[in-house]
Formats: sequence, structure tokens, C-alpha cells
Amino acid sequence: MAQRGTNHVTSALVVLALLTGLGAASAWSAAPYSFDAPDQYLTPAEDYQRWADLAARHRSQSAAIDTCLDDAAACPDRLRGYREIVVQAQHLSALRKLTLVNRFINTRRWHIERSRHDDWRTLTDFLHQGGDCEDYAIAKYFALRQVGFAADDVRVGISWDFETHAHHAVTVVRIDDQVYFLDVDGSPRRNQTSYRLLFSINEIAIWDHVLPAHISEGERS
Amino acid sequence: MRRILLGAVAVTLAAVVSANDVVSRSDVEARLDALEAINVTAQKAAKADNEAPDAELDAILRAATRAETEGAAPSSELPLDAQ
Repeated sequence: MAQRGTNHVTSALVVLALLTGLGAASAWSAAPYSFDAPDQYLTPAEDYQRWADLAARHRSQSAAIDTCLDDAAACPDRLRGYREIVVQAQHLSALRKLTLVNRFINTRRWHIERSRHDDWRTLTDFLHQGGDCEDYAIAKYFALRQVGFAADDVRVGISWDFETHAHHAVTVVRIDDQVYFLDVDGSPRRNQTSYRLLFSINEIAIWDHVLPAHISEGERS
Repeated sequence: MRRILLGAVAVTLAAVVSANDVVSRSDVEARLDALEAINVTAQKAAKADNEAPDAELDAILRAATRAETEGAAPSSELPLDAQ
């Protein structure tokens, strides 16, 4: 009898432990993404050196992009297709611009860097060399900015991907209060069930979606 | 049974730690360090977005491909006043 009682207690503990674990995992994955979450603001973008370096490289290459967009004859081969996209996107709606940029970038060459430290590529470098997921997300970010999206409405999202069980990058876009996720493998999607956003970055700021509650307002710059 | 119990506790701890591993540090610098430590490596090959055929977008994409592969003058010469 005592043995049976012990077994019941043990079984109850096992069930409780599993439910607790499931509850934690569920809570971790359930929160919908919001562009309007000031409590998730972490710090200005320039405080993150990797992004600051990327933005500086992009700025240094912008003159060549601008020249190409102004004059097709001055366009290097690797930017000719991009020019076509930017020019033709002018008359499209925001949602169709989003779809066009997503489709164009997703046809680029997938190329995973061999170094252990991720190399975040600029739009120009990506169009020339290809890249892996964060390079796709960054290229979409700058391309969307080029075709008229405001910085407030576009971010690069660093996420945990539940399908690949690895960190992943996507582009997150807001159009009329609807949030779209641009991944490397298909159309813009409205739900984020396959990943959990951890951080978001744009040229304005960094947002931390798992921000510890004990970081005081004063510590955030 | 003891093994099962220990296993269940381990699973629970793993789930909780996984949910909070980047939450345990306390200042902005630490959060930026956590971001920097992430190696974005998802093996998720790019796939063309063909889920919603769109004749106009298809034509633009074909023109872009043609401009790249043939090195020809782009077909569009619209003024770029929206940059």
C-alpha cells in the first residue's frame, strides 16, 4: 500500500513537472509581435557596434546605389536588377512593394559564411555575393527603406526558429498596423508561430523582446 | 521511477532555463552582449516566393533578371523621385 502511495505521489510530480515545463515554453512563444511596445525599447542603434559598422558600410556604398538609380548606364552589373526593382516599385502599393522586394531578395544566392563569427553583409555586398538568413533580412530592410518604407515600420528581427532549432533572422514590417514577417522561404506571412522574436534592430534603435523587468527605465538610454 | 522523476525535473529545468537564459543579466550592456553572442545560423535555404502568382510582379522580376544576366540597359527609365 505504501509503495502504491509513493507511486501516486511520484506520478503526480512527473505530471506537474511536465505541465510546468509546457507552460513555460508556451508562455515563451505566445506573445504577438508589436511595433508599439515602448517597454521593449533597449537602446539607440548606434550602441550596438555590429549594426553601427554595418550601417556605416552601407552609407559608404550608398553613393554608388544612388548613382545607379539616377542613371542606368552608370549601373554596375550587380545593381542592375536591384535598380529595376526600385524603379518599378514606385507605383505599387505598400503591400505589393513588400511582396516584390521579398520575392526579389529570396531569389539571391544562399551562401553560409564559414567563419564562426557571423558576417553581416550590406545590401550591396549581398547582391554581389549572396549570404545567409541575416543577410537576406538586412538586404530586405535596406531595399524596403529604398522603396519608401519609413524606418519606424521596418526592423530586422533576431529570433529563435522552432523549425530549425537555431537562431534565425527575419525582416519585420508594419503596414497599416498589420505586422508581416519576411522569411527566406516564402511569401510575407502574418503569423509568427514558427519563431520567437528575441531582438529587433533598425537604424533608430534596438528592441529587446525578452527584456528583464528589472532593467530600470534609467538604465535604458 | 526515481530516474523518471529526475528526468522530468531535468526537462522542467531545461524549459525554464531556455525561457530565461538571456533574461538573467541585468543591464543594457549585458543585453547587447547577449545579442552579440547570438550566431544566426539557421539552415533554412532560400526559396522563391511563388505562392501567389502576380503577372505584374512576375514581369518586373523577369526584367530584373534580364537586366542582371544580359547586362542590357534596364527596360525602365522612370524618374526616381521617390528615393
